[in-house]
Amino acid sequence: MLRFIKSHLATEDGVEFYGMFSLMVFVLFFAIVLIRMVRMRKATIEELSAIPLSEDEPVNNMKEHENN
Amino acid sequence: MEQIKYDNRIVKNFAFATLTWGIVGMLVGLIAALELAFPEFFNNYLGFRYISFGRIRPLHTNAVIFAFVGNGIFTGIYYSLQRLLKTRMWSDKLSYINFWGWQFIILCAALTLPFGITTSKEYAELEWWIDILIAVMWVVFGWNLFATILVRRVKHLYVAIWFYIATFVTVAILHIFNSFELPVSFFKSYSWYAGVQDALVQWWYGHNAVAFFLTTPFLGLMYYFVPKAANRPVYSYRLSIIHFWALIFIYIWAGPHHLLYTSLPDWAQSLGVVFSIMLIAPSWGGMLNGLLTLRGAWDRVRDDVMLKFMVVALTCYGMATFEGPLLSLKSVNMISHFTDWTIAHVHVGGLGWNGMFTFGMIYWLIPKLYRTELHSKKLANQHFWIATLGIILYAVPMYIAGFMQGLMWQEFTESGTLVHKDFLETVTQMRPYYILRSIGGGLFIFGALMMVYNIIKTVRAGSLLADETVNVPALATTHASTGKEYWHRRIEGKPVRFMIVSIIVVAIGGLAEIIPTMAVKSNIPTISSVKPYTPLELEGRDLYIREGCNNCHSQMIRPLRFETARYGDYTKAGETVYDHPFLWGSKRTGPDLAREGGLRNNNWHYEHMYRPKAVSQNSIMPAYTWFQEDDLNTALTKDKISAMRKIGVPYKKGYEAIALKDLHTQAHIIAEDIVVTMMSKMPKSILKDFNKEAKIKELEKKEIVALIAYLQRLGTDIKVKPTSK
Repeated sequence: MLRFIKSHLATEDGVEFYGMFSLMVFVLFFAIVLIRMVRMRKATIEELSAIPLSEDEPVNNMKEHENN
Repeated sequence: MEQIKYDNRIVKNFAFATLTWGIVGMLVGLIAALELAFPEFFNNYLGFRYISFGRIRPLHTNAVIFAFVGNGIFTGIYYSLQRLLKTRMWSDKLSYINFWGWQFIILCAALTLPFGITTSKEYAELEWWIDILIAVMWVVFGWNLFATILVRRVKHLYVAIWFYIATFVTVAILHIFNSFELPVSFFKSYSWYAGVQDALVQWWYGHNAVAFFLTTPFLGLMYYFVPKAANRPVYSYRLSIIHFWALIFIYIWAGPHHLLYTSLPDWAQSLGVVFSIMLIAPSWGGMLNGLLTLRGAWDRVRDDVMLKFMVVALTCYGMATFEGPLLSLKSVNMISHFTDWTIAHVHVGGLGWNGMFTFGMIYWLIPKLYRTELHSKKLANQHFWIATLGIILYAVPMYIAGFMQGLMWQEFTESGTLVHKDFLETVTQMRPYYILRSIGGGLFIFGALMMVYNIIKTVRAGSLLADETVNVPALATTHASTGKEYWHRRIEGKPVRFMIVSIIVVAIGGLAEIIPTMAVKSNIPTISSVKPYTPLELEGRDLYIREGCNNCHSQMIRPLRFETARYGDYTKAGETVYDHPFLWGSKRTGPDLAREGGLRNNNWHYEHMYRPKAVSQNSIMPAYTWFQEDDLNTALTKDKISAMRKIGVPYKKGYEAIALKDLHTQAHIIAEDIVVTMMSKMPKSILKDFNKEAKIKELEKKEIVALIAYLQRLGTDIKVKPTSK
């Protein structure tokens, strides 16, 4: 793997390729995430975003009080 | 339904620690600020070595980042994680080891940094054994986090938890890789990397410490606490998913923007710039997602003090993350770098984003944990306004100071000479801004003290609900994938898989930048005239590190006309190949020292260190009187030479045997030179009773001689023989 990187870094064109490659990896990754997100079901979204709002039912918490 | 108990005591412990260390860390910062505003006062009355600027600046940064913000993160995570997973923390024991271990590490930091026990690498100054302790405690935290996730009572991992996971894995990677160092003794180690490589690893770490310690955990907390306080779901859950993946992917690449125009290879600088600019998108996506969660609930912001803090926090986050990419542009960075502009930028983030968010969160949490109302909403409101004013009074003067000084450094006369040739001219003009900044910081601390009072009163009025009993839906066996689920739910339903994907995503950027810099020799052209430091210079360098000189002096001349006109030839990568650690610095409160060697005579340095004002009027540098008083400790010199050889510095085999002899010879030459110059200035009446040999003998043992040897060496290697190959 290192030999692969080294051979590309030996010339200016090689370095340019390296930067382009990095950007392409990101663009590809970002595109996949984006497409998948757009296609997510609305019901799922609503279910997920409601998670922090669900309140737990308290039980006899007055007994659990402790002086501090 | 199933009855479980949430552990609130651990949350309370972390919250109290947050406030305590917050006050301590900010006070240390205020002292540092006052030292720059009133240097005469500190030099004349409080010139203690333990609180000199170079030693307490790292104490301030470590205290606010790891003690104040760190404990704040744990407070929020330990509270929200249990509720988001409907599960008590997996192990109370691990929770408490995490708590006490973390406080012990902070104590170790407070007991080493003021004594000059430091590695000098920014935000990673703690010595090797504390680094190991940090790694162990971080693993304890991660273990507890993952074990809790694995035994959870809900199917899905809410977005906040992804941020916690990313925080855990990335901080672990960053900390371990940046902390590779070879111990020489219990209190001394050398960075495994040298020069450019050390710089790249350090700023890959430094930048991502901001990303994954000061940003991602707080974004996770934002995704929990803002919807909770506003009582409405996050504005866009879709956006939060994109926000998450884009942020962790891009952030890791941006480190090199801290090294623009330095001798870091150009391709790495360019990558850093491009990704820094891209970073604005996920950062603002996250900020807007937080602020828009309050849509239709803005009336609540007026009454709810917690929401007020959150709104200012998010706004500051937006400002800082807009400014960050801006500062990464080479043309802007040319002005801002090494100036107080950077200080303004980090304080908008630190005071505004982390500070205000933490305050808001604790104001919301404590009444809940103590089953009571906040003692005084009015006082909390006053705190809000004082803190906001404090941030403005801090940041605005620092922006002006940074911009002004950056431009003054660049100014040329028509005939082509520097307008402010004397660096000090640009420093003295900073004074009013340093005073204003201290007032801003003072206000911020005053507000925090009001909060401490308010919280103490609240705690006294209530009683701690240490174990909060709740009914939650019984443990469902729904963790297993049904096979037809949506792809993201498949990863998020499997925390281990999720963690692995996160590691890969953050590793791509780090590996792509670091491996070539490490592996490809042509990235760091060697210069044949660059030789390892002599034993005396090496000891001097360690004194430079001990005093934290790198906190105010850079050793990196950028290839820009105004820099080379002021300091000399720009710094080449090959010049720092034996610098374990690198000492390029990131701020110039004093001038650059990369070409200091040979610029002034030994006697100048001798007098300057003892009383800087005596040789440079208006200097704000602390007086290092102890360099002339203390004998140089050479007990470790041989070990240091051996250690340096192990990490690649080409000292000849067996050099240890003669290292001390060389050290004494060089010290004698310097001491003699100083004494002779001293004598040439003495009146005859004193001169006739002066014992030259005794004075040389006394002086050659002192620390000052080693420091002068190091300073006189700086940048001289390629002045002598500019034979780059």
